[in-house]
Amino acid sequence: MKKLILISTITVAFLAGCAGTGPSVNGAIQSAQKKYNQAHKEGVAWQHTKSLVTKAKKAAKEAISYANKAAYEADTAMAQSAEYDKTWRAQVPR
Amino acid sequence: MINTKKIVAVAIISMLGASVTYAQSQQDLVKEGRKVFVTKKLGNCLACHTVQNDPNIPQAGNIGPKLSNLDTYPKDYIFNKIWDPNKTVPNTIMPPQGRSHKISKHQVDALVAYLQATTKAK
Amino acid sequence: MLKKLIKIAILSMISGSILFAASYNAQAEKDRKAFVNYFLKKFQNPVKNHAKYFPNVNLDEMKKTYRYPLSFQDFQDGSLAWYKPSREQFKELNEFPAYSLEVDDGEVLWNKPFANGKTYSSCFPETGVRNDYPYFDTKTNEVVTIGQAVNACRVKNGEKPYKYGKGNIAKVIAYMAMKSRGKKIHVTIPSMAAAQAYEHGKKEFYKQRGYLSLSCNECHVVSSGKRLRAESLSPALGQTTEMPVYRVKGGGTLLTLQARLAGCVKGTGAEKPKLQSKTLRDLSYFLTYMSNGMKLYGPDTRK
Ligand code: HEC
Ligand code: HEC
Repeated sequence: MKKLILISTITVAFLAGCAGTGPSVNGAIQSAQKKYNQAHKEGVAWQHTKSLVTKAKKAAKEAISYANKAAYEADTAMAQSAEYDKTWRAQVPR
Repeated sequence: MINTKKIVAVAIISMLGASVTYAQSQQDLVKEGRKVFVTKKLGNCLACHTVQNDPNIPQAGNIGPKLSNLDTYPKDYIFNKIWDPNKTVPNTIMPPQGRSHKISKHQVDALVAYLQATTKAK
Repeated sequence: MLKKLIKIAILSMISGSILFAASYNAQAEKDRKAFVNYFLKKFQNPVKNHAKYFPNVNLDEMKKTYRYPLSFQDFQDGSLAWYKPSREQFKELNEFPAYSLEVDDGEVLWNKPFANGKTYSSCFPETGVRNDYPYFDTKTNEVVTIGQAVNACRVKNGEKPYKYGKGNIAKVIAYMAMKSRGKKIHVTIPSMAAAQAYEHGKKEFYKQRGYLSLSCNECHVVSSGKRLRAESLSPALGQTTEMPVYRVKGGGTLLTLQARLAGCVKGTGAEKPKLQSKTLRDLSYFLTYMSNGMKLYGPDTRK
């Protein structure tokens, strides 16, 4: 009984942890790929499953490129801002 | 003998063909460069510049210099000027649109091709 | 002896604080004088000063289209002050100004009682107080814009605040501006915190921003009197005198100063700031201070 409670607490804690960040995209794709591979090996895979995995991979790539672009923009904005912090006073008419 | 002649002829024809496609792609690049130059959502360069031998750009601004004689400059110089003008003129009003990734490397190459083709000293 | 000493101490404290009070705006005054001077010199004779201020502008075009010399008060007209072709076009437009309907609406709103029976008059000493805004509230240590004052009046009287930027708020301000025409801009810097807000606004004005890395200064000081695409750039001096501004572009909209500033920030490729954010309020505080002493002429029409 105690063990059960312990396990269920751990599970709840784990689930709560996941809920905070949401499932990872890569994890979801890997898991889908594995399941598809099994179904395929058994010869029972459905018509569109494979292309769904491909789509997921492509979208993930796109997501990463968007995220990288956003990170680049924010980094550049911060770097430029630091640069202009030093130079703006020289522009004030005297 | 006949064979060699044939081979030479084929070679010449294919060389011609290659140079035609080269000229074609260069022309396309110049055309694309002009589009980047005049399109607001792309380079929007006309907001500040007129161009020496392309007087028909409508509603060009006059904040930057009239772009002239750029065929006498190295390609790199013009590329870098467009990519990040702050490098050579700190605090310039000209936007660093390459560095900001607002336009791509290829688009800057196209701008360089367009500018060198249309700003030749007469 | 002790009494005398205390007296002296108190006296010197008082005079010290008076001295200090007088100096809250010392830096701002220095800035303002240099700012005004820059524009007076630049537009004294643009053709003669071509090489110094307008190196890339076609000289023949300047001779034909520039109006000069400009007096301090001339700057109330924005780009219409120096660019003859738009000046003529807009003088014509203003014979039957499109904004007059909006001013009429504003007058109706101004006089219409709230649910509690009171009107806007209960919150303002008179209608024509546009020239006192924005002001620095020494109790909250914040810059207060005229839009905020209008909405504060509504809330105090149990009404919903207006949405900022355009619509009813712009109409009410337009009516107030009309009643303030000819009054001189009168922005004060009453405290240390006010001086800090001014400095913040100044930095926002001069610092480059957005993916185009442009500053207000680059377009409205350095490039004033030049053309960005087909747009003649207005000098920053006098820019706030004609607010709210009726923009002909896009079918005609009456915009508040806040909306106009936000539009220009967006134009640099930066995120559009929220209307009435600290950035925009402090920016308007700085910008309006630069035109201190200039007579208002709002609302007015622009491209
Ligand atoms: C906001 C105004 C502005 C915009 C937009 C702008 N420029 Fe410029 N440009 C300038 C100014 C001002 C200069 C003068 C030198 C400097 O400050 O860098 C300049 C200089 C140049 C030069 C160097 C000219 C020389 O003779 O050395 C080139 C080339 C150039 N710009 C190309 C472009 C291209 C291509 C674009 C569009 C991607 C562009 N500019 C957009 C303002 C602008
Ligand atoms: C890329 C150039 C550019 C930048 C940068 C820019 N503006 Fe503008 N601004 C314009 C143009 C173009 C107009 C419309 C023509 C005019 O009246 O100047 C305008 C109009 C205005 C007006 C209305 C003027 C009038 O007479 O109605 C105000 C006020 C103004 N800008 C303030 C600012 C402030 C403050 C900043 C800095 C956040 C700024 N602008 C940045 C280009 C710019």
